[in-house]
Amino acid sequence: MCPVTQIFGVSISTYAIMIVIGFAAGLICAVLRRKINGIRADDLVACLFIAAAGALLGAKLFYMAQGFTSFLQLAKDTGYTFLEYFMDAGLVYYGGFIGGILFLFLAARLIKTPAWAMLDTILPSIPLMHAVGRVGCFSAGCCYGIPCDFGVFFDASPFAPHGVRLLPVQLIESACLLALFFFMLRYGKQKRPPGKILAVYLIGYGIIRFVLEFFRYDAFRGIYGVFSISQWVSLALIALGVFFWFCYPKSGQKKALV
Amino acid sequence: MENKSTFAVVSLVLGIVAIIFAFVFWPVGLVCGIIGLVLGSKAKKQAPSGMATAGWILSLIGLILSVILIIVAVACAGALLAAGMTAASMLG
Repeated sequence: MCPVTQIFGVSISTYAIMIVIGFAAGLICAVLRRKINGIRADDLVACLFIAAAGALLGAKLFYMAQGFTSFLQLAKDTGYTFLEYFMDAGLVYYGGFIGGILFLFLAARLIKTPAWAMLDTILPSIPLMHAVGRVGCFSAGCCYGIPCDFGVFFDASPFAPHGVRLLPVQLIESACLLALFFFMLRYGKQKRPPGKILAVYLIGYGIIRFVLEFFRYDAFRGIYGVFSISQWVSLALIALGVFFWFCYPKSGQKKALV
Repeated sequence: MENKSTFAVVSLVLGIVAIIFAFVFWPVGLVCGIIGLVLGSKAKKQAPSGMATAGWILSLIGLILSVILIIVAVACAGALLAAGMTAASMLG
């Protein structure tokens, strides 16, 4: 709808602005909640930005994995290099989530801060950041939905087809994510056993994403069998969430969970 | 104590490198920022000093700049690619 925003005469991608705003909102939320889990502010800031870097790398690698066969063909035809592919690659959320969590745990271990406490502090911020980011997707016209009579035109978008009404699935997902954020905020108001808040997020977002994928229409998504890659990943993450809720930590396990 | 002040010095150097490379070649800025931030955090805890804090702050700035430039690059590359595809389909 509005891919570019003018700020003091400079054209800036609205998508980029919304990602930055979403991240800032998530950071503020995490800083305000840090005392619930006894986390230092500087450790939180360090881990969050390292997790953000991991999220961007993971999102890029996931995107590259989805289009790897096309890359191989292009490399063979035109000499397109892997580095060029890496620099040009877009972002896929699930890759970002996995990369972010891995880097977060690694950073927490390296700077010797409790990893689960750090994760529980940051996790409710993730659906908030994602909700704002999806508004950026709506502005850019990417991640659009199926054609429908009550949809919107994305005629200014370089991604979506023009002249056809498309379901604004980005805004629907944004609303669902905000609901998940408020639910996690309420659930996370007190310290919870390790894995519980993660389970809430995995199951909650897994269900949201699995259902909304049926209404997505953007072409560049791998389809394997009856489901898209993101739907298969959603199912796996729901299963992982169930594991964390019911089976983690194991009863009688005495070792400190850091 | 020797290792702890080394962390502070290395963090400071990596922070400066991260800021410079954020604009030149962001993957290097990103890696230097991450390592500098980890070392700066360790230095601040084990042997707090002005240098440790400076290294932490500069590494954080370098990491933030790299992250922002990645996001802007992805947004611009995606728009250019999609615009090119749209133009190609119109001409084709």
